Amino acid sequence: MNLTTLQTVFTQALNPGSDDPAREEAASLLNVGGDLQPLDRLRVYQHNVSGMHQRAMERVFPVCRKILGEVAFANFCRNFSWAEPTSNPDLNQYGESFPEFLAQQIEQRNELTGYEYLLDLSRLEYLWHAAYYARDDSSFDFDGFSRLQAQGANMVFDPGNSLSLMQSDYPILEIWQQHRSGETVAAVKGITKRQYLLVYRQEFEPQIFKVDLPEFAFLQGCRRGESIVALAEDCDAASALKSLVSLIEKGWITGFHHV
Amino acid sequence: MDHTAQGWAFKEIAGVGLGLRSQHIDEVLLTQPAVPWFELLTENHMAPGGLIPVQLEAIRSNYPVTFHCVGMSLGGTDPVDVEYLRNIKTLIERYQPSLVSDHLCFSQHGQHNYHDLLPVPYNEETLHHFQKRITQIQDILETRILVENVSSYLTYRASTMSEAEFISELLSRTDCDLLLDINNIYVNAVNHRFSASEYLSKIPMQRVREIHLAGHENRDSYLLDAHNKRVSPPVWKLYEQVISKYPDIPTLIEWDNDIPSFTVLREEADAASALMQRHRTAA
Repeated sequence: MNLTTLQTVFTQALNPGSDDPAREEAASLLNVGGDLQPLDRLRVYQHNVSGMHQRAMERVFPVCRKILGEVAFANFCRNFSWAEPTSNPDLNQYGESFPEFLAQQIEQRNELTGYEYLLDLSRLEYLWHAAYYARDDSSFDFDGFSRLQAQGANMVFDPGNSLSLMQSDYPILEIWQQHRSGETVAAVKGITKRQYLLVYRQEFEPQIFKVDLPEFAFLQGCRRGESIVALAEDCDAASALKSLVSLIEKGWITGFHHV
Repeated sequence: MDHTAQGWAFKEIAGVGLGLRSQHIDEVLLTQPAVPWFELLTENHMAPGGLIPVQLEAIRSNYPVTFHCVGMSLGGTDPVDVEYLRNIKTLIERYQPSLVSDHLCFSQHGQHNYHDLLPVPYNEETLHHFQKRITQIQDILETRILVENVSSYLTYRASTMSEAEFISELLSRTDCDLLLDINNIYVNAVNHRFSASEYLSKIPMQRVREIHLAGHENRDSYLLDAHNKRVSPPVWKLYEQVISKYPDIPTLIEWDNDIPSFTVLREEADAASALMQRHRTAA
């Protein structure tokens, strides 16, 4: 058996969901002896891998963990790490697709009825985490902007690197804030008024803001690469153009480019 | 490529350094303790923006640093992750670490990163693989790396040589150096029932450029390399065995889980320094 095949057999047996033949095949690669049987030796690695991923997820999704409880969260983490493997060595970027995984689980399992809001909440937690690590922005070039504007050029505004947008029909910002301040939240019901949220890193600390629909639509349009002319024609986004300076001052718009 | 001819002047490290973890960064920046150097887990410092690069810049302006990586998957057979290595190279160029290291294991297979140090069989095929892989990675990084012996909880039937023989042979064939983890040797010696002293006798010590010391956990039927305790007495004894003959090898205290106060880390470093000093004087 060559090195590649050996690693295939070994790593397949690390999956806690692997079947007996897979584990037996991996165990047959190992020397026998000492106080541990080959299957126990594989379990040490299974446990190490799961533990590493779980700790990474605990750092990213502390509120979801608190809501789901330690045992259920650990199970989700373990299943996630096998359902959605990553090739990225950087554990700080681990868990990006966990919200969608969680949503699938919630949909498939009756006992999770009522937890539908966790899709949005886990997204919010990941965006908050990602903002902490995002690239820095350069400051807005007002002179360059004025020059292009004077030439009548059509432009696209660039949102800040750490900026993310999301909307939810659940009061996820309140849930997030309450859990982080140590309070327990009662049963969550959907709200009729949609929340528009913006996650952004101010200097070193990620922040979450509620924004209004025009600001949300405007920044989302910028993110999609829509030009100023197109945004001015968008009834949802147009009024936000009036507060452009404020958006720039807040650091939400950090640049522009000519189209 | 000659990896000994580095394009920049590395500041040499000496004495006993500490693995710097996020819990202690503010304290270190505030109090500027007399620690000769810090080792950084490179993957924890790859963020392109925010607080992390600012902290790293501040640390680097006051201390020599070494980079300890976990993502090269030196023993892995997936293609090398060029993007990851370019990021590491950018960090190397920016912060000029005195040493760059990774482990003699694999961490990725079939595009699945396990984020753990998974063992390889010790045989001719693996030797050849490491030889090629280390050379390829050093060419990309344009620097010589150190490879570290890992702790393990199993051995493969496909192994045809001992771990120490494997490392010695690898170093004879490859243009890299060794980061000798004494705790890992002890953990493996207990887990796989071999003599740690005999292991040490097979290591070409002139190629050891750094030593790691850490704590392990006794799980009754095996020792777990948990990095969550003080260095154990038998590991100190093994360390002394090495440092009595080679008192100038820079040594690092590693502590990754259940992180204690910085004072505890300093105490461990002081203990290693005292041993180092005693044997330097004797020499």
